[in-house]
Amino acid sequence: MSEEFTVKIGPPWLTRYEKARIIGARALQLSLGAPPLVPVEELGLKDPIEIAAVELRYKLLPMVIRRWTPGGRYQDIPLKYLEVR
Amino acid sequence: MAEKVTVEVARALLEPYAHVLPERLAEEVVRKVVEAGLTVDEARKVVDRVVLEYMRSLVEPGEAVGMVAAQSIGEPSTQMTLRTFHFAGVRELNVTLGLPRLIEIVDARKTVATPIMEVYLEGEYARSREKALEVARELELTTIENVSRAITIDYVDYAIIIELDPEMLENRGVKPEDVVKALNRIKGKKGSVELDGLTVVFRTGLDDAVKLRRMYDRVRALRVRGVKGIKRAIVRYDEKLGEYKIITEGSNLVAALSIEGVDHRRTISNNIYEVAEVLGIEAARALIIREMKRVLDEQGLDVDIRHIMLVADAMTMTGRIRQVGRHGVAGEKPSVLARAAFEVTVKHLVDAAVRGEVDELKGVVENVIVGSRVVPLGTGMVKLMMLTEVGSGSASQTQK
Repeated sequence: MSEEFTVKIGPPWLTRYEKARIIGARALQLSLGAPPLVPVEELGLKDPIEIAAVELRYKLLPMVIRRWTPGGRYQDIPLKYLEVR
Repeated sequence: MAEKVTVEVARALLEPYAHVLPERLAEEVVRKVVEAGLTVDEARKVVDRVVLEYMRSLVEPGEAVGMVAAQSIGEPSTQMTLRTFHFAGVRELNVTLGLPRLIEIVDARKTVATPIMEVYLEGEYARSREKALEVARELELTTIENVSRAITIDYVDYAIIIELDPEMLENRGVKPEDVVKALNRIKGKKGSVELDGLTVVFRTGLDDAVKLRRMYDRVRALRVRGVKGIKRAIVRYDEKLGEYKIITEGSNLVAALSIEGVDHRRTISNNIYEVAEVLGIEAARALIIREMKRVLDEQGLDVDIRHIMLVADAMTMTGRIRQVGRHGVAGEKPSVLARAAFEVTVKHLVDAAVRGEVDELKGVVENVIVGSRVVPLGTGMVKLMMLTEVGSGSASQTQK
């Protein structure tokens, strides 16, 4: 994958639905015992949802979003290419 | 001392965003940037900012726009009064407005309750009232009945005797000869027409009283001048445009557009089917939007135009007009389960089974029925996957 990655489907940032979905999915993992990717104690975090939010903000999550169109086109977009707002 | 942007440079700056920014907006940016006398660097910043703001203002993928549009039009509709209004001032020309009209538009009725044409005029026809009246006369349907004082049947000679009214002839701009000409068109082989002053004697040459009677009715409604279907044509002065235009009761676009003096670019009917047929589907889409907006504005209801545009798009996207009925947009809904959820459940299911239909569970209703906890909307339509090897983009991906 070259550095010249462009987002072809949708905006070059996370939509609110994507954000919610990512945080939700990650929070579920955390609640089931997955090790956090941020120093939880230092940050004083307890709530898995809050931890997931922080992880997302620092783009620590190894995730890919598959943006698709009703026409069947799709593009896999690694999180690092999407702005988190 | 940086150089100022020119129109060409500004256009070039916007070029990469041609597929993002609508043309009209891009042109406006170009104009404003040049007007303000910005430097190239400043202009680039402005362009970037405009593009960003534009993209931010778009709906996000996953938003239930159809549902929002339906509610945004539906709720105000409940506030509408059922009254039909009259056209302000001019000889009580009726126009269906309010809920009945809205239903008419959305149902895509082939015939509308009050067909109206707005006929715009060209050149001097638009500037002079006299000239406009000429066109109006050409439009307004004049039948023999309209210009006669009396029409009688002579059962002895099998003739129809028409006494013309000079005043009405004058009003309608019709000469007695026109009446004769019209009658000549229908007289047949045996018939003959004679003109004596203001009396026209039409010897039908028929030999049956019943047929004569039928001919009498036909003669009364015979077109002498004007366009079929146009009951009345009223000349009005358009204050905003500063020109005369004609409003007609009844519509016949094809005929109206070919009349001398009529501006075919702006003339429009309120019959969506007619417009789609004569002017094309894009014109029909624009008309749906305009008519719905007008109805809602009339009632003082503020509905965002984009909701209406969505409805118009859905109705016209196949190239022909489809109605939005009780089942949604006609022909939509490929899902059996969604259809079965609405009405006559068993019939839908049996029919689908007979035809061997497949339900792809793409819609909301189907997913609710089968009990999946996500519906393909908003958060539910985000497809998330995990990179199993952190950092390497080509790592194998597994569905999460």
